[in-house]
Amino acid sequence: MIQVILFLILGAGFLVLLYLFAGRKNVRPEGGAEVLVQARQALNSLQTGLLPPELIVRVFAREDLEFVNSVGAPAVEALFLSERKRVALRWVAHVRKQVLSLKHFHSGQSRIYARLDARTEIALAFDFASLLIACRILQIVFYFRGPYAAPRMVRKAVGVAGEVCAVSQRCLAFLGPAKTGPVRNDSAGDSAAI
Amino acid sequence: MATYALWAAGIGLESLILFRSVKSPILRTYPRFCVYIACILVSDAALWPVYKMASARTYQRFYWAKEFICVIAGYAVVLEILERALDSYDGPKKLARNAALTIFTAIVAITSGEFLLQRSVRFPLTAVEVQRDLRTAELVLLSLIIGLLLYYRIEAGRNLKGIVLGYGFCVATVVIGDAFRSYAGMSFQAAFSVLRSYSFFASLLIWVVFLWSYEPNPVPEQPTQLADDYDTLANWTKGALAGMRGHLGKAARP
Repeated sequence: MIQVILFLILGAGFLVLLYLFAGRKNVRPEGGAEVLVQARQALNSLQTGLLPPELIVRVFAREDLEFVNSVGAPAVEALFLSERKRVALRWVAHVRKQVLSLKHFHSGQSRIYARLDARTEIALAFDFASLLIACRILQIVFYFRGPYAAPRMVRKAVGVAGEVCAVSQRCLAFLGPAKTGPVRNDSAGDSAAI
Repeated sequence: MATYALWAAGIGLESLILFRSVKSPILRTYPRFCVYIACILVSDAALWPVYKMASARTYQRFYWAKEFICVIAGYAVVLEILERALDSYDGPKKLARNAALTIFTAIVAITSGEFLLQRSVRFPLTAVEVQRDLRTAELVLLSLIIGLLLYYRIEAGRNLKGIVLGYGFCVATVVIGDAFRSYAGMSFQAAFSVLRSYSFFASLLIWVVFLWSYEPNPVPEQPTQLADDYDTLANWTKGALAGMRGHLGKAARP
């Protein structure tokens, strides 16, 4: 019976994979200048797309909650908590989006190398998956317990923004100005060349 | 009556797919898939008189012979999918090839081991188990190829997508059906035959739609390597991920 269940899980899992494959949006084949432009866009959004750490600290600031509590208006307090929760959720969703952006950057780049290392690629795929799951867990925690329920967790989460920004700095260094220099206009009039 | 109608319709669709393939570059691009369809067409047409006139035992022998020929032809289709899908991407292609070789070796070893360890060979139940194992290996290989296409965001052309969807659906239903058949014994055979016939007919419909006209696979432009070598890129990504994971990991443990 266990064997049957295993094969059923395998078959059903494959059908789900097939569904994802069938439903995938068409992605145009990338190459040449397009890769450079997309990589630059991804890395720029990694650097500038996140809220600055100071602002994140403000979003999760406990003093604001204490101030609202001191007013003694339950309706205002409820509104405040619901709005802060919404902001926290949006922030985690945004960090998750940046991780996905990094994943797309890596997979889009690594696929063109002939000397791919299977072990490294599997480890990275696992890392990306675990990071994305961690973001999802944070989202669930924020959703059910709110941004003030776990202050230490929030403080640590705030650090992520700073780290992502630091990562983006290294990204830009890695790309180097020579490789992502300004777009040149070498067009001969009748054809576009970048 | 329904069985005969489905059988005849299947032969009609198989002929149509082959006819459309011969009239277009599909035959040159996917020769192994066309051979697979030809195998199915010939075996379906040959089995018809056997089913009508010969004994059940004779039909069973012919049926299993057809099944094993189709499984072997199916492996050729999977390898063709692998080569065509990852044609422009040497790294992922090498990964998939190595994995395919490992999976194939493992499945041959497991199947041979089962044969050697079994004290009595119970035909055709043993044949069901062997087919299930071989089909499962195909399923794993197809999962690997689809996984790589999804992970590396490699686009498949309409024809290739159709071959993957149709063949994948067919193999998945066979694996699920074979699992039940090897558990419930030949009593499940009648239900399995119906399931198999309808699922294969659905696959034929998918192929007719997706292979009606030739559409080449998208080819990327001359790729631009942003890093000097793969190790630089991989090490950079590893470092970036480690930093992010460390912070999120701590955040998840207040």
